[in-house]
Amino acid sequence: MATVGSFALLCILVFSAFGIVAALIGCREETRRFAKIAQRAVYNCAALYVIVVGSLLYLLWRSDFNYEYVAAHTNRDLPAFFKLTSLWAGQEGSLVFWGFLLSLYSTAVVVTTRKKFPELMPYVSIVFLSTTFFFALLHVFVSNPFKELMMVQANGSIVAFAPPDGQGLNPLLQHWAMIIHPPLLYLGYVGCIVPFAFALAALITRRLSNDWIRATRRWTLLAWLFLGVGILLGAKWAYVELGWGGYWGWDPVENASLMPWLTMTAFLHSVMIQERKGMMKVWNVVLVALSFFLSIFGTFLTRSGIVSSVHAFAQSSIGTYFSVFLAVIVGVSAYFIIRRLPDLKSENKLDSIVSRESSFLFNNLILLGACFAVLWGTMFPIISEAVEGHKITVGAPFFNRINIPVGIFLLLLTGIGPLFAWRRTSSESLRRNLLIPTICAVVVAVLLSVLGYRDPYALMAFSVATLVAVTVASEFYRGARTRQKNTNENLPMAIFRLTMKNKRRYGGYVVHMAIVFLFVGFAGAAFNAESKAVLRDGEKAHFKHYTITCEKLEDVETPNYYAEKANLRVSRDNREIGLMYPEHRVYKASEQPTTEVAIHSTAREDLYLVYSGRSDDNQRAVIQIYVNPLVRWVWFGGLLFVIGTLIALLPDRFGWGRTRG
Amino acid sequence: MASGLKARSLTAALCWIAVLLVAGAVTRQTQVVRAQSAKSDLTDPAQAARFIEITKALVCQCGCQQGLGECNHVGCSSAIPLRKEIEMKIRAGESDEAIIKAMVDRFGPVILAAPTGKGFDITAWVTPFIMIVVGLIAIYAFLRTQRKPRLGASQQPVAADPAYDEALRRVEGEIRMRKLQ
Repeated sequence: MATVGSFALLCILVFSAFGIVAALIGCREETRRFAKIAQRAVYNCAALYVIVVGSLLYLLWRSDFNYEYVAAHTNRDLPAFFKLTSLWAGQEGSLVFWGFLLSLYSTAVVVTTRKKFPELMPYVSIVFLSTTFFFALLHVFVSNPFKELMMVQANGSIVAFAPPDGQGLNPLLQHWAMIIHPPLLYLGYVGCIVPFAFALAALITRRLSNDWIRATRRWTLLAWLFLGVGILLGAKWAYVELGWGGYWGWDPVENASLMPWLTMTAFLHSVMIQERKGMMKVWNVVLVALSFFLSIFGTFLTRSGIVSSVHAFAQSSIGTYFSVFLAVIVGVSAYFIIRRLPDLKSENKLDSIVSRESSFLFNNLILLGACFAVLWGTMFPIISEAVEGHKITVGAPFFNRINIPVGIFLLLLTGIGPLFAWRRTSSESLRRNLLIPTICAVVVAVLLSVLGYRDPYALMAFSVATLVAVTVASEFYRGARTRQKNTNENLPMAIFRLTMKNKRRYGGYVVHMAIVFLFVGFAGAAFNAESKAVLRDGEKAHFKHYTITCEKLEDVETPNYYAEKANLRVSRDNREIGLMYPEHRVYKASEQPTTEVAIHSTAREDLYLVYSGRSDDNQRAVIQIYVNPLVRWVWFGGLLFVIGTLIALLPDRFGWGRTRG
Repeated sequence: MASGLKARSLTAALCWIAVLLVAGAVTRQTQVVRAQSAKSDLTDPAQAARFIEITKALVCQCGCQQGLGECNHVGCSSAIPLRKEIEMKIRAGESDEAIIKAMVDRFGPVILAAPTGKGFDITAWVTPFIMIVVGLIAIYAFLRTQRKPRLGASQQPVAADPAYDEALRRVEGEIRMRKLQ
């Protein structure tokens, strides 16, 4: 099975190279023959990747410990489901999975767009196939998933070897969020290639009308959606599974995924300027190339561990491969952007500084400023070590100090920006539209501060969030009222039909509302509280308005792990809310200890209980108690984000299009 | 809104805000949460708050890259002893600065969770803001290029183009026709 897989990997290497050559020839000739060969190379690579993934899954399923990857990431007693999902548990499988998703994406894009943009297709195929070729190089030469375990025998001969059992899957990965988080995140990363491929193709062929943007709008939005959901799922997993009480630690891997999302968000906004006024063409191409660069860079950061120590770079040659590929991306993009600068001239000028176009400029500035701060902070340990010779750490305090004010300002722009009309806004209309939201924002700030919630940044966040929420709600309300003048719909129906007729705009407003919820959830962290309780059977602990009674401490065993479990009865304000079971587990195969957190979540706050061990006399359990306000608002914001983006993604024919009213 | 109504609403809103601000100042309500900490046995709220602040400023050395107060690796060989030590020092009355300095002396600057404000480290903090300022300047420069030329200059005489004139006449005629209908 592995030989089939290895052979398929070699074929991918060859076919993608072949396809690139064919596409290059196909660019110059009049018939579509060579371009079609390139397209078929894309399809063949996808089929080959299915074979590769199929073989690897087969080996994982059968626990064939002859193979290093299988032995390193699974064990016999691992639940079957996790044996399969360990496909993306380690570097080799992860990269195969990336390449697999890339091949599927390439196929889908080529199939759906080849008739509409035949002149662009050869170049689009080259971009897809070059990236496929790069990943195939990694699979074949650096990070082989089908590598066999070898052992040097006493007589010096090297022989294949299979341990009796594998090392098992990292228990932290045995969780539902961790199952869907990598695939979704990778779909987001991989998706960044689509707008880039079309932008580069448009640059090379000088077809720089807004066609390439229209072609890729939904693909871009889809990649952005996957990336955003992937990030949020990662946060959810960190919160529920890692058990340190938070959901975002500004870890290099987290930052790596956030950066392309920020640049894609900037692109989604500034592209509207290009569509309406034919401006910002150079900037948009730069943003698209930057997003693709950051997605490859993010993959590299995640998979290579370069940032925890600069020495990891030298040890693994995967760093060299990625650096070269990243340099090629920068070089090719820069070359074509500079060469085509005359074709990218703006068609118009801005009518006024007080316009939606110019507010998008500030939106871009803030988003890219935040992206730079994250990139700078993530890479600074390496820079500092190179300059000063000793290691330093750049952790959460740095990122929070910089990004919290930036984030609040971005939130403010989210509320004010839509009030600017296209082209020019009168200060009259601006004042009128801002009046009520500002009053609401001030009232909320004053109320909260009277009630005792006086953290300055949190107050700012809550009050600006109120401003944004009111402006978004009034956009829906006013639009619906205007509709109601001509139809006899009730308000909910009017809002629904309004949204369906302007999916892009109102879907976007739903996403803005999602941002409001997210920021309110983030601001809740300013009021986190914690405590510790040491309890034996029957003992109680009180914290804030909670009472926690230890009913029973027990020891549990399953095929997968041993556990110490606390059965805790919890009540709030003397009303019982139920039983919670925090645990401390040791997984048999990996001998790795983990904690299973118990969470009781309401809209107001989360009660988060961690079983952190037994006391010295082994009679009592040490329970860490965390009260985290407003965490649910983050997850709800995530849900709204998905809904809003899906609305914007819906095809125009769905719903009520442009037929009536 | 009629401007009279607007002025009255605004005044009413401002009055309410003033009332609430005064009420807030008068009641001087303070946060009722007793600071405690989940990772130490400190019961005095001030000490617990200090513990949380100090551990936020330091990083666990076990390789998890998390704050000293956050690392929850079971049996962590770095976080657990270090937290105990910090707790002891707080009880002993040492100042925050002394505790942090002792940690830095032992482990080096790598134990600090964020770059200091001295020497090369200051570039960590300053560069993002410099970049944002650079971006603001770039936007300003761009906006200046967008200034429309003066009215006189834009009224360049259009080159005589009979096809254009004919089309213009036709359109104007149609507009007149529609207005009459």
